[in-house]
Amino acid sequence: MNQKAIILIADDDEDDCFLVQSALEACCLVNPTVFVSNGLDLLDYLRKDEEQPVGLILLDLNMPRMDGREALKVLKSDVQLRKIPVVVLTTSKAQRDVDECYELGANCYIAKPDSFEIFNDTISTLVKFWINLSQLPIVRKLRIDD
Amino acid sequence: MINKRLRFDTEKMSQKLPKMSNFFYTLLRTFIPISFFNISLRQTLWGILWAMGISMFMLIFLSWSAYDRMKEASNRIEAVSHTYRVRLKNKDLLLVLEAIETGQRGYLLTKQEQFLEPYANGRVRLKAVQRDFRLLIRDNREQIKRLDVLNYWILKKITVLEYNMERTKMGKAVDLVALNQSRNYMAHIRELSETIENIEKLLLIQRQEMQKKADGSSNLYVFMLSGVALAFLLVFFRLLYIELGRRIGLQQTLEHKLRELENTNAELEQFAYVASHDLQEPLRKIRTFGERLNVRQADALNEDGKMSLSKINQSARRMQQLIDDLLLFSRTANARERVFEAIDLNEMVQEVREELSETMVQKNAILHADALPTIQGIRFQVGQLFVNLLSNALKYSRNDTPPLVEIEYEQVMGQEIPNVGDLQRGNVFHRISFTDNGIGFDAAYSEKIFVIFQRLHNRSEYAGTGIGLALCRRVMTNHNGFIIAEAKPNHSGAIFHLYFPQ
Repeated sequence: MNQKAIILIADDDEDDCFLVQSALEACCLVNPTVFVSNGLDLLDYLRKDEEQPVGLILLDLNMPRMDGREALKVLKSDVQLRKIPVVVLTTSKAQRDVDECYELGANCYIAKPDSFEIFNDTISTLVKFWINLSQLPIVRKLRIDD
Repeated sequence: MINKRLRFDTEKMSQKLPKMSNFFYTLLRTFIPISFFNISLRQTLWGILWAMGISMFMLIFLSWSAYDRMKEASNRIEAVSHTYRVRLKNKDLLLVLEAIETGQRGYLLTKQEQFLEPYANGRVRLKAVQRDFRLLIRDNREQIKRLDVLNYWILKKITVLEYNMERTKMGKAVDLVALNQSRNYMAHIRELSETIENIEKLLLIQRQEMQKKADGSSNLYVFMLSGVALAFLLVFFRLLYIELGRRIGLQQTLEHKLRELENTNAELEQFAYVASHDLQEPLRKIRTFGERLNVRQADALNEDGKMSLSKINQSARRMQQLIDDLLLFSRTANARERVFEAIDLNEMVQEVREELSETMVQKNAILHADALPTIQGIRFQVGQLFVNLLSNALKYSRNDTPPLVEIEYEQVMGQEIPNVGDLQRGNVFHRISFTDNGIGFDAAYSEKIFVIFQRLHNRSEYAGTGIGLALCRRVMTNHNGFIIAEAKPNHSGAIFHLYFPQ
């Protein structure tokens, strides 16, 4: 079941997207991945009528237009969307950000490692935990009438 | 330079005042020009004290002399009235004498007993008048002498009168010689009485003149004194005004500086934020992609390429370290949560000793600490401070001798701190000194070592970015304290003195 879930990655940084993509590929992930570059696009995608459900969100904090904090706030106050586990994956190591994200309902907070190898390890661990080990929820899409 | 600015502010302040006081101020400024007071702050304060003191003294003196003058005046009035009383008594005396003589004559003529009564009454009254008279003039020796002579003649006259009365009582004829004598005595008495009267009159005139003179001269005296007191008061006021102006100018300058400082601080915080995020982002990319290149394409690179890549990666790591340190420094400088609590420094030393125990064992280091006081401080920062100082002592140790670190404690006055500000001189400080037996440093660099990222050694000799002591100084500044580095002679070690205010 988990294998069909989409992994949705919200990050405005193309390089980071590339690194995540290549790290995901490196650990032989079969799940489809979707990349969006800001909070608004993320919400748009989630509210679009799609066949496949989103199983996991990797969320960057600093993004243009709608940043990760705001997106997290919206996600976790939505009856349906709040089920989707959100992993905050960001540059910031500040304790303030960590606390704030958990307060807003983030399921996990990971600071992007500086080293390439550790970065790959981190993504690999993440996949192992959330995709291979955990059971992900099934999120019924809401049809947006307007 | 500063003086000029302050004076400028003083003038500016006077423009802000309302019109009325401005008028007075201008008047005052004309009479006491400001160039008069081209003096230092300390001198101004002394001037204020002196002017105040002198005018106060003058005012006290004036009140005292006014009281004295009043007392003198009432004395003089008393003296004048005394003279009148003396003159009245003098007249009384003659009147009583005349009454006695009249009574005697009546008896001599009529031989009737009823005339004896006024005579006897007169004798009694004479005694009283004589006594009173003497009492009145007892302070005037000359007049007393005259009164004695007068009394002598009166006695003589009374004797003669008595003699003729006795004769009449016995039925003998009146003694004409005695009668004549009596008239003579009376003439003497009148003459003397007149002398006494004249002298009293003279005294009165003298006293009145004296009073007039005294009034005139003391008025002038009082006016002069008041004038001088007023002048000193004006000087006092002017000095106070200048000083107030200076203070207001100074305060405005300070407020201005404070605003500037707040702005700078806000900018610094902004800068720190920028450094933490926007600068780190590309750096992280450099590191990540550098490593990626190293991992994935290592085989494709020749030796030269590998060397260059390793240099890039090294520099990126160093840059990361520098940014991290800078951030740590700026967070220490702008710590939002500055909670001061009581910190037992003995416990702090124990904690730090545990934290660095590995290095200490490795280097065979010995740490001696005095009994240390409890201070008010930010726990995390004081911990950082102690760790930095101790690890510095361990780091810059000699290869041939195991490190020996001593932490000593003493209470000192602010004036013992080199280059301390005037205001701190009188305060009491806890001095905590970290002494080591390491490689020390050149005394010329005792200030430079506290500058952020300043290093005295090559990176290949001793690792680090040069943030440690800058952080220490920052921590001490946050605690309103000081840190001073002292080089022991011949590079035999370093001493770092911490001064925490008590």
